[in-house]
Amino acid sequence: MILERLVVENFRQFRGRQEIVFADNRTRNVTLVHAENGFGKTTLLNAFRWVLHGDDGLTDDFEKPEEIINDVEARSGRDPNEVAATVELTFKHDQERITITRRLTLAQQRADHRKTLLTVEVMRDGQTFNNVAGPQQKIRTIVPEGIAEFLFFNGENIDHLAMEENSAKVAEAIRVMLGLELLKTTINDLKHPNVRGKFVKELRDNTSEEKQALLDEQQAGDAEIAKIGERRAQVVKEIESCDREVQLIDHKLEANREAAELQLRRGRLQTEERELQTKRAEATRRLSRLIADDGYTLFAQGLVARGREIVTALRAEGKIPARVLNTFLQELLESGNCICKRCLEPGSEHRQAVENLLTIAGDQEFNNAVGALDHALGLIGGVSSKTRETLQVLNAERLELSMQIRRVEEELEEIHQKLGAKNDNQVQELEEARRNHLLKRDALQKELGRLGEKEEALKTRAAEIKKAVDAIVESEEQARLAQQRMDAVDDCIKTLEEILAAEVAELRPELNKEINRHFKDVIDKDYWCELSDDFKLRARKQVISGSTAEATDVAANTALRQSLSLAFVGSLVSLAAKRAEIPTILRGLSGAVYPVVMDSPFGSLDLGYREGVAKMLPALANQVVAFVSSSQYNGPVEQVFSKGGLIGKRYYLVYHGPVLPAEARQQLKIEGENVQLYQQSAEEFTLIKEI
Amino acid sequence: MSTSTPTETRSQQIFKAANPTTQKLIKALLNAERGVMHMKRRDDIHKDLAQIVKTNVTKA
Repeated sequence: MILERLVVENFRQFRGRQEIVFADNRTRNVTLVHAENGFGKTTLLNAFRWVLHGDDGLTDDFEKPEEIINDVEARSGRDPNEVAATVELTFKHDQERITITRRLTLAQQRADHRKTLLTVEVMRDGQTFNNVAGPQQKIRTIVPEGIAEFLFFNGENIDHLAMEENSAKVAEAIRVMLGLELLKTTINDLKHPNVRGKFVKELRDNTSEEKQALLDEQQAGDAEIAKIGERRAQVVKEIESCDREVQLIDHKLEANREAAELQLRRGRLQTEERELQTKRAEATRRLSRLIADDGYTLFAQGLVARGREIVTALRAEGKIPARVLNTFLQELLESGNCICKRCLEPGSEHRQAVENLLTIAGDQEFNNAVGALDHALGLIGGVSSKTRETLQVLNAERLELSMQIRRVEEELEEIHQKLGAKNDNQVQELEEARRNHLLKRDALQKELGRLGEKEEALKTRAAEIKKAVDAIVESEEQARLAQQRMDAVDDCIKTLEEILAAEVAELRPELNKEINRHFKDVIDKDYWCELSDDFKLRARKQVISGSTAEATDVAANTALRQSLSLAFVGSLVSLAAKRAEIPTILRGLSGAVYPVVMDSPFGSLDLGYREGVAKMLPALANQVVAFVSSSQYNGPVEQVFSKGGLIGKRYYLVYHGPVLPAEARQQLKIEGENVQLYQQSAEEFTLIKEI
Repeated sequence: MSTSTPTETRSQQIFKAANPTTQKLIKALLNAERGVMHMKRRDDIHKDLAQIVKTNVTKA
């Protein structure tokens, strides 16, 4: 998908016909749109999402989705069938030039804003095909709905991909962007009540009462697990929402003169707290590993002592090491010759003498066993003292870290109290709201934990039921057939799940390579990125402790998570482009080139991170479109872009309205040229201007 | 027992290790899904998948 042009007409605040032509040069591949907050960045992002997927494609923060048509036009009094909002997107894809046009009239907006008029025009081999049949399906073959959120997104919110509780989202992104969703959809459809459930019902209707009861319990359990899955997804979304709210409040507090100092201190303390918690978690992990591997040695002292006593007694009795072994004597008897060369014929006195020795000879296996035991006792003794020592060190370390965390928590509480007591209503209200969001978040986290436990218990019970069901042999043919069909479905589900896991596992090293390639642009410390087996995006670092070096997690702040997430998106786009080169079991997976369109990629990043992200951006995709405000652009971002010659096209949004929004600038200097970002006007609307 | 070649992926090995009925079913099921993967409404897919299982698993 190579973007050519976006045209918006009467779409929200974009009044009249406005267009953006995108940079498509391989080196100067960035299209930059300068826009102050409130001028229409989010609306422009949603113009992409709306033209592709209609109301279903709009972002969560797009307010009043039922009001698509520009206000002024909607109130103009003209024929509602003539007043309309239109967005048109032209792009190249797979030897075709495609123009998508989505239109919503005022009459239709009033009736049902979700029902829009969609047309797709395709130019191929010099021929134009208007009004292609099944336009939405055509769009889905190019940009499936699940992909849009990873290509057209708000940079300030993308950091959620790097939060631990969103590992499912990361897994989904990999499946969707890299063509594996077919496997997941098939698995889900097989598990549906109308497929597997159908055969379960058939079996139930033809089987014994005992099995019926088990099948009923199985179905109830499956339904409960599905419900838990839905609630879990909901809770994760609510946690994300709380985090966004807290982030917003933190920004406002930082911008408030009364609260700024304390809020900045709080930010530093929170980073310190996360680092300490990460270290403590690591110490706990090492402790658990130690106890699992060598903990038994601490309780083996008594046994070791008793063992030593036994070995010493055997030595004192001359039983170990034995002076002569039974296996040696038997070899002599079998050979018929003694070591002194005398013949040991049956019945001879020499043979009798050797046979008599067997009664006092030591047992070979017994000697070997006691030897091994003695050695093991020595080892256990050694490991035991080392284990005890390491245990004490780790416990002391955990205790120290816990004390430090407690100290930081007390300081954070102190800051909360001070901010709450400020003689400034806004600060008080913000602090109160912040506390409420954090309390809600805690409650949601706990609920997440409980849901996980409940799900685990249900899955254990489900496995027990399945075993019991399988153990009951069917006598009736119909029941047997239904059981076979149910088993066949289960086999397919199991095999497909294993195949999906294997396909993703094959992609992980490639993804990690790509993620790190992008990540290095942002972070100049000795950190690296890792996508773990359970889809957690983490920044890692090497920690030297004495003579050992250990890899450990870096406590991620918002900026680091945002960088991780952007690097991850870039890696998906890179791999999607070369998908055909990566071995896969699925046929027909060809590469797909995608752009990345970002609102506020520099979000709330500090200057150091901004410079890094600015360097990373052009490499994220063949085409990068970014909407930035002046506060984000000035400084390191401007320097990186100006020096690099990376910008192929540049636009700015001019807001017209009675009052300039707070924190927005009237003018901006771009490449030495002063551009006017605001014009006073009785009506509110935004125009797109090219530089 | 499947024999793997150096160019086989892990997922291909898993597929080949499945019994013939499962292999046949999976191919048919994926074909059915492929036909509707880009559609918003997939009203008949469950019916189609159930029918594929019935057609391929016929004898008790």
